[in-house]
Amino acid sequence: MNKFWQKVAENGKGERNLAILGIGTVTIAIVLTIVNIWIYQTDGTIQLDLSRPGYEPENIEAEEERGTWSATGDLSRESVDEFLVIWDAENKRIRGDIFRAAPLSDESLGIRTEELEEE
Amino acid sequence: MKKILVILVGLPVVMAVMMTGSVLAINETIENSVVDNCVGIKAQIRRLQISDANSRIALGRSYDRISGELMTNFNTRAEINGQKNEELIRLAREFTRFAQFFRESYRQYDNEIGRVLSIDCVVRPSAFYAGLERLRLLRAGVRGNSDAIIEITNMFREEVETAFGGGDE
Repeated sequence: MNKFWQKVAENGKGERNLAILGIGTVTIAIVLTIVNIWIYQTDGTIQLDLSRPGYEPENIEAEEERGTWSATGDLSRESVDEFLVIWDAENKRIRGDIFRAAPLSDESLGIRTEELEEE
Repeated sequence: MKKILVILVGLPVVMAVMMTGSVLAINETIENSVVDNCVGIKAQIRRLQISDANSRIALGRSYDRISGELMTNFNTRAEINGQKNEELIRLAREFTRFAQFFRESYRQYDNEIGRVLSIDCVVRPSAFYAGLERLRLLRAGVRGNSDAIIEITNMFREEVETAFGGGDE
């Protein structure tokens, strides 16, 4: 490594500048990569990334066609009913046993909380 | 109503934060059980993390659609037709706010899962169980936010029916 720097010093500015360019480029790339990974982890993007190893979608459901309701038009009884049909269909998706306590209970995880009585 | 929702949602999160770093004094039965079943417990938590990630994405998609398309479009159409409804506009704002709370609470919950999974439950069963307790509180917070969002959508639907006469007669 010392011989390299000696050669650079002997041969003058050209090679020195090239070395500085190379080192500078690599350093900037490393810094930007670190910043990107930090942002990826802290802003919550990582939690939406199902391409992580082990994170494959449990069910690949066919994407149902979801109705649309335009921002323009009248507010007749018919159009409001149409809206409510689409509304109810979408709202069905956000209900159900989501994030319930049971999966993390002692019982579900197989953690005994009391000594088993010996017979 | 708003205060009650904020308290219901915020309380589990505050309690979880207060528990950060603390180690519960757990009884010997629990400690032995955690040590004996360490691998199995962690495997279950990992499976739950993946399942929750799928739920999070599906919910996020629905929340975006409900807020960005359905609520916005309805309120816009109401305004165009000269029937602007302040209550519906307020509910749309509340929905957006609680959707943001949901995202943030999920982010904290998911980070905590990672932290708990990094604890060696054979060497530190008490710390692991304390982490599990925090996780339960944070999960309750996520659930609270999703329940609050459901409540807001119920109110929105009710107001649409009342003000615009939609739904079953």
